[in-house]
Amino acid sequence: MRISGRQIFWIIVCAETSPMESVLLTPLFQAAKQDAWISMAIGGLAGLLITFLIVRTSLLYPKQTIVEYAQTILGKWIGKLLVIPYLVMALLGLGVILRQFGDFIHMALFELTPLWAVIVGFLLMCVYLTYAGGIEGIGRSAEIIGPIVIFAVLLVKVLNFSSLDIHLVRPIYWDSGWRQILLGSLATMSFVGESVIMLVLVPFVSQPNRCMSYAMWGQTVSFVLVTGSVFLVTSIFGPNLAGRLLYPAFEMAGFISIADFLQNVESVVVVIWIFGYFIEVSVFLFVTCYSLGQWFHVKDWRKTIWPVAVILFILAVIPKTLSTATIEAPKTKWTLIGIFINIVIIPLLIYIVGYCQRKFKTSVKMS
Amino acid sequence: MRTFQKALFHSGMILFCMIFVTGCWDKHELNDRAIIMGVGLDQGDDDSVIISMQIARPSGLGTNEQPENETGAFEYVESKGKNWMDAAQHSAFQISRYRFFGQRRVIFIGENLARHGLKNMLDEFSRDTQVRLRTDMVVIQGGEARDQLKKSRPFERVPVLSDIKLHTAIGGKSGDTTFRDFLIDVLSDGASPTLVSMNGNQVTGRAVFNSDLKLVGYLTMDEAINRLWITGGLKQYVYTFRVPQFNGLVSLQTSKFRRDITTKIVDNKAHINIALSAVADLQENDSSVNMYETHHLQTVQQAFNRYLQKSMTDMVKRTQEEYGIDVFQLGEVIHRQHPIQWRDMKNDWNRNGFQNAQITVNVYTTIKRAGLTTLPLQLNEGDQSNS
Repeated sequence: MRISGRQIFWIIVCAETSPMESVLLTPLFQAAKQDAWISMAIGGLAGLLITFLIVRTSLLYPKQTIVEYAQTILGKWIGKLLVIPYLVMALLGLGVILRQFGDFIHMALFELTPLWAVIVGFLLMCVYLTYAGGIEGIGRSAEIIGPIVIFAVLLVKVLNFSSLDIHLVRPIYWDSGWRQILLGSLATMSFVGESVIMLVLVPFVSQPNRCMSYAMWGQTVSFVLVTGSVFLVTSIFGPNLAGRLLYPAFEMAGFISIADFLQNVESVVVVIWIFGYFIEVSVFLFVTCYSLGQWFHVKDWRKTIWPVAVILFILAVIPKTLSTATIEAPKTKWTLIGIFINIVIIPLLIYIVGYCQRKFKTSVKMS
Repeated sequence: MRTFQKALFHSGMILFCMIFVTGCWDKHELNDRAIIMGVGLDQGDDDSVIISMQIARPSGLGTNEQPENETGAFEYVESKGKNWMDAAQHSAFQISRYRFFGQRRVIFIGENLARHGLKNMLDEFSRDTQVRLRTDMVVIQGGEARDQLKKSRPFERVPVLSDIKLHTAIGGKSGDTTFRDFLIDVLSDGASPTLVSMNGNQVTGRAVFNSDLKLVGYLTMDEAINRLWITGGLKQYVYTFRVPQFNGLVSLQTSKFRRDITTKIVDNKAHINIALSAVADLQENDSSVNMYETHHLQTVQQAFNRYLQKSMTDMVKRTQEEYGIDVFQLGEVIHRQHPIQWRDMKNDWNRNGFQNAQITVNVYTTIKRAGLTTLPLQLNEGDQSNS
């Protein structure tokens, strides 16, 4: 299985733009009010740093996934132990993503359809792509879907230009202050952290040395798009109203009206967001199953897909109400700490140790 | 055998997926839907509420011919209930189809309900997933919302469309962002919500709400237009006023409205200066003066500025004294210009802050053109006055 650098770019764009656009904006507005876009921009910059760190770490051993190189660097036991948080995060995270997706679709399109049916239908599709296509299939799908996602996001922005009022974004800074702005950035953590997939994906890329620039570009494009959306939502609904809406960007799509003629386009936009979710869930599913396979030394990693799918389905239907997965889960202290450990501390640890080892080895050889 | 099994598995999968593709749980064919175009809300007696609906009749919409019966292309339904959802549920007993609210274009509010307050109405109308924020909202001055929905209108097959178009034409801004603008004002400390008011087929002015969302009074049509200039939505308007020096009426087609609001805070008291400017064309001249003489045009211009200044100042004074609430979104301007001082002012703004604010209005208009004639055609040379 081989994917190109360009496919990495599109995978990251799809996986980050859609979920952030569709569901994760409300906590941002609640924390930072009209400065939510600053929070988002700070979150995006932090995301760039994290992507840099993660890709750098993976490039220490460009032929291995984190399951392998953690063991190469830190020894068998510690290496195996350190991967456990990732597996837990991947499973829980996927469960939450699925639930968020399900709730969103349930609200937006299929009110009377039971939630489980929405989730099962979608999960089956992702399982199919992962099983039949592997990362190659995902990469190729992303190449087709990515441009469509970008087009849809831009379209919503352009078509709403007539109804925006730039005054609603002012006064900048004074209403929230740096503490609230940083708090808002924390709410973007789950979004920023999506580049962890690179810990597993790097060995599949045909030219690993070009990974870095493609991953960084993917991150940049999606964070510029989402920051733009946040800015636009603020200037259309104002910070107070946006903070009360559960899906502000969705409402923004529903707000489009061009000359009483082009209206109610949000269904189309939702469908395109679903495409993005499709890539996100598939790529996470692949990453999870592949590393699980390596972790348990299963010969064919595909065998882990079905059990994982069942676990995910259960995780997704467990939360009783919508707000648990969509509003509370991303904000909880433990979620944030967990994500922070996974995207910053462990990669940093592995990188420092691996880097020192390499330096040490070369200096030994030199002498 | 293996290929057969594989084919069997694949076709099984495809069939399984088919179950979901149909989406049969949410299936509502177009001819099973009742498309609700407008909703009217009224306060009933003894705490009940009355919801009335105007439903488009698709068969009447398609052709360009006149509908056969007088009622036009719509149906009217009304129902009563303990609260809005209850009343809406009761309407289901009268409508044979699935009620679809996604196309609802306008909400009418009866005056009685508006005086009772809109607080519990807003919740239902923003929580419902079918509903869009792009909706017009109108207060029926001195009447009931349901009467507004019963009547047909001269130009539109679906009567509510006429009201939206009317609102858009008179308001300058597009009428259908009203609900959003209303919500933004409701959630802001520096503005009081207002809505356009109508009666029958006529726009009558603007309804003013206090922070409890209770109707406290109206602005007249002239005031509503002036307010729109201050809040920045006016596109064009014909002002008619008397020029005392010429002893005659003059009409000016005014456009390119601009406003520049500067605020100052002295001892927790707001000093607000509103500078308005516009460009005008002379449209009608009932005085006996040749408008192609520059100094005459300048006299008109001065009179126009003075006239506007007076009517603006009178309006601001009246709202300050009579209502005491900020219908001009001036608090938001202070908020933007003095964010730090605003923190201490915002809680008091709609009680005393606005009332005690010192507000001055200056108007600077320029008359650009005087039309195609010099002296009014009906006058002879000798009648020309040279005041």
